[in-house]
Amino acid sequence: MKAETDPITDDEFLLRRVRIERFRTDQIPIISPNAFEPRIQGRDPDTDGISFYRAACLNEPDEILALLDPQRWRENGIVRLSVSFLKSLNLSVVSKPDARVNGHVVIPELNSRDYQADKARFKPIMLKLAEEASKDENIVRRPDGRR
Amino acid sequence: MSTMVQSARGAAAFTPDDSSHTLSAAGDASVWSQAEEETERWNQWLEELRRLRRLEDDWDGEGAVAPHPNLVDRAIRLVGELQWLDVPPPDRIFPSTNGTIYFEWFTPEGYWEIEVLSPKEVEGRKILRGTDHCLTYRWEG
Repeated sequence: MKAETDPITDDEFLLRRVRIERFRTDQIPIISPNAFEPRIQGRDPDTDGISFYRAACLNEPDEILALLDPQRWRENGIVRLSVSFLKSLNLSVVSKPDARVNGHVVIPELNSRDYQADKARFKPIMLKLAEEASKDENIVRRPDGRR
Repeated sequence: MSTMVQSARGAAAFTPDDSSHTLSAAGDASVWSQAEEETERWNQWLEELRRLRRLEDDWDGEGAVAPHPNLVDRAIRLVGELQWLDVPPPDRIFPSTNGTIYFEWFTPEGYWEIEVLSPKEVEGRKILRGTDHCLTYRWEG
């Protein structure tokens, strides 16, 4: 297992929670592009970029559900994307440690301010992220708990 | 990557090119059955929208903003407009974490979404398959 202070390498995978309504099993792609939408409002806007977690810094992917009430775990799935894939879209990955869960990182280019200013510029990128995240090998956990 | 903003044609901008969704004058049984199926799916989405009307802030446990009931009412009205235009039911309708509501379609031509931004603002976006262009349509009222 890597330490948060270890460099983020291209061969790593990043994990992201995806809520059930953006996670359908009978659609292609099954993950909504809007699963990668920055939060503009609310308690915790994505001012520094949308969140992911480094799989290499965790024992189990389900650890990223720890921030949620256990009753909500079945409302969330988990997908993964490789660092190399994100870089191929000219996105970067920056460590932003969170005491609650190891390996927290953000994608600075997908931040709330820029997204609000020009949503249409972001949508093709969000669609590509969704298509990649929808591949079988990148579905880490379905909302019903199945792998 | 570029953004093209087109003049608003209202929800008609999202009328699908696929004529299979149009009832034929011959009244073929399978076509009628498809129409009934689509009506049923639209009705299910209407039920879902009525449920969204009762959402409260922090509905996702992560601090999401709930859509205002008047915004949900606009989304419900949009359903009627899209049905009138013979647009097939979306693949998804769901609230964003930002207090808006999305309608999403995945079609052979590409990805379409409509975001109900406020009780008076609706924005549609299309990404044609194989392109990085997002066509944006905005209409008010």
